[in-house]
Amino acid sequence: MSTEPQAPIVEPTVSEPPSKPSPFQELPEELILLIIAHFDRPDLLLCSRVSRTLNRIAIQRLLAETGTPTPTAYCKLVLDPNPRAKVDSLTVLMHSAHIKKIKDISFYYTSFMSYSSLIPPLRRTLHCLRSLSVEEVTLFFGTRGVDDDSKEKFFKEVVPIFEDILNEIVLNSTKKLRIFGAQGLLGQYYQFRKLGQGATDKAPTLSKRMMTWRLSGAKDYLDRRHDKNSEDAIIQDDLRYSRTNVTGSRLFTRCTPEALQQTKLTHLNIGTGDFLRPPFSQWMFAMLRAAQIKSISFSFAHLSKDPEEVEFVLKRLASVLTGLTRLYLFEISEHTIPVLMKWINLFPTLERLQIEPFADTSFNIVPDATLLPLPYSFAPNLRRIDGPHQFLSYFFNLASNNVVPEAEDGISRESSSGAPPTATVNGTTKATTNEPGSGSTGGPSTTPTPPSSPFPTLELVHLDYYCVRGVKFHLPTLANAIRNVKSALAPPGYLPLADSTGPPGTTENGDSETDTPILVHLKFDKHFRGLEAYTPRVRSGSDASSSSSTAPRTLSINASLLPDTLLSYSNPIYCTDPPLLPSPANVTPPSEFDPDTAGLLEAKARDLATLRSIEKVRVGLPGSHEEIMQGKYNERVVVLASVFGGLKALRLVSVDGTAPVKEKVEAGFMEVLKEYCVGLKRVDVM
Amino acid sequence: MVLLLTSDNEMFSVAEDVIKRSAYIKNMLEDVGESDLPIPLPNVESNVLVKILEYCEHYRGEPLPASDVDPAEIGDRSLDIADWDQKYMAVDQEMLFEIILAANYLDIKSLLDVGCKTVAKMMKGKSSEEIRTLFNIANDFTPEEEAQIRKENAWAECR
Repeated sequence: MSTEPQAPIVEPTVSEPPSKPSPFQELPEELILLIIAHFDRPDLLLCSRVSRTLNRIAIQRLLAETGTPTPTAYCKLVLDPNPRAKVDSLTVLMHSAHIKKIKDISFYYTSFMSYSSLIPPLRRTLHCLRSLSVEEVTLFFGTRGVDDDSKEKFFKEVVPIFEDILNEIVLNSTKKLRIFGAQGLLGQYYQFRKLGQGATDKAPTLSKRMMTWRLSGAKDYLDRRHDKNSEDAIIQDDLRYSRTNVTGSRLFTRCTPEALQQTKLTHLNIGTGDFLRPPFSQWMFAMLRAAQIKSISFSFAHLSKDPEEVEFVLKRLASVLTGLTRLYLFEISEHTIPVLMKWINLFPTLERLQIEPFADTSFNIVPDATLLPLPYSFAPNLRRIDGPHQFLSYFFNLASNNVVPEAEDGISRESSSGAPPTATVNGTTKATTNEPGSGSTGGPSTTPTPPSSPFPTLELVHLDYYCVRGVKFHLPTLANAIRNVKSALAPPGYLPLADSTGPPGTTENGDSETDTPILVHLKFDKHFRGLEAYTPRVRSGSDASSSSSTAPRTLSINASLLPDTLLSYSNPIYCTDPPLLPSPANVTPPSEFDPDTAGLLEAKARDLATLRSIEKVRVGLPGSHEEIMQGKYNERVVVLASVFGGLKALRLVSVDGTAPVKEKVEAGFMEVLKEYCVGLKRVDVM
Repeated sequence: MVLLLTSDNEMFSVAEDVIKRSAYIKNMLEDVGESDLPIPLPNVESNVLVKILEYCEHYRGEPLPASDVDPAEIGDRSLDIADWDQKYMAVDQEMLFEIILAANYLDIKSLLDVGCKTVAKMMKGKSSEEIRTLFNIANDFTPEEEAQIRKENAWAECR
């Protein structure tokens, strides 16, 4: 080989002048990253202390390594009880010279064996909250392990740190607070005391026993009792809870006056029972009363087994959440529905209600409606309601059957704490002098003033149909749920605002007509119950991307494999525009006359007509965004879409739901869908 | 033979199997094919290229590394450097960084890796102040920031 010119390997002679910037600082960032890639975490931390640039690069690398790639948007900090644990995200975060503000921060406290092991992570949390500005805070507690003997000693230490953390969260201008998973954090050291009849409103009586419990807090207790402030959270606790351990001293978590004054909290998510019992209830209820809480997410799964305590806690919550507009209830099971309905009724300002069933429940049982208290306001300002169809059927069935006569209503309304807006109730009661729920069919109204809907403000009904965990997609069930909703939204005689030309009250198929759109959300798991008879054909890659000319043929052939029920439903004859009047004549006539079959066909036709009023449908699919885009579920989607004759917008929702990207389906598939749904305007994948 | 023209207008004639250690030039030769025109290297000075060619010459005939591996993601944190490489890298700081920059530009992965390891090794075990002195890096933290980070370090150690 030859290199020209033949230069000997010489050391460069130029020595750098002192003013010249360091060649290290001239390196592009990706090369600095390559250099520090050889460092372990303690080295990187050291490196972060050299300069601002190195701080940024090293911290970025450390955070990516510890699972926090976008720290300013969202930080998940898993805190190990072991104070000598390796460098974690929180340590890194606290070393940053650049990150001062985090939108959403989550502290995960792993399972802990003793209160002493909870102290270091809690101290670190407090330290972090004092150094950073945050908008949303999540506290996630693991379960507590074996009972430690010295717990009383550690209560004295743990509880004040909790108090400081909670107050610091508020002083940090946090808007949203979420607390999850505390199982046996501290709540089980208090027990709920049942009251004798009528004792609820009595002033606390200071028995000898109570004095014994509260040796340490006696002075405070007497002071507070002297104030006779019934809104005082501690007094309320004292009335209903006592320490399980008689020798145990009283525990306090109190809001500081500054926290009460400066609170910016607007949203609270409670996935725990612990923070609604002493000692945290003292802080929680006082804070909720002071804050302008607009929305609550609330799990019913962690509530006490004692119905009396549940009622006490729920009423207590409702009494401090006077301006609540959004309620999101999750982990709901059938047996909690009556309790839940009672509770909703305590929020007259509610605008949005969302119900999500418990993961393990098929949500099949409809609870007894007679348990419901009267009068019922049905959230008169409701703008949007989301829930499983069983719940919505139940809710709207009650609404249409439970219109209360005026006199009775007037009396009880005065006694109820939150007076429901009168316009709604009056409007309804005026028009319906006799009970519509008693079986009178009504028909087109002849009264001069047509009745208004009991839900005049309702803008959207989001109806979820969970076809999961063995539940089948059953079209008559869906149609029936929709009819239940509609008949409540538009009581007999109700004149829809949008359509003043047609006859009021009902459509040609006997359904109530309403202005409020209903969005149907079908949620499937991988079994596609109700659609099992159909198995998608395995397609080659070229076939999948083929033009629309071949695709429809494939699909219509496959549609013939549908189970009988859906096959007759998906007859395109119902999907023409203008829609044909559904009648038995449009369906393939039975070979011999059979009144049962005819009745069945009529029912099917009616169901399809009901579904034609649905313009927006979402289908939750058990695959990734890519799988949906590639057309893995196309045939099933066509089958489902074809039963909604008036469909305008269809959205396919991936179960992943991680990346909020919206995409249109491929043009060929759109063409196919349009063959079945003439009015279809838009199909998105999300 | 491949002709290379450095930023200071020096022409080098190099055997193809020597210079193909540079993925940049290898790809260029594959794309353009035989040519009498020199390949301009506007980011590399002649004294640096001499040093680079010394490296390529030494490893002539050794298999080329896989091209699709990102060294930052290998997870190889060892700072082991072969004896010859250590001696090769015994240059002053300015040349060291020039070699790293040139290796990056010419896409010579093994050389870039050795260069980065050499710098990492120099930094390892040193305090932040010592690193600043070593590379003549200005401490541009505000006094508040510095106090906070120092406090944080002390706090992290004693908790």
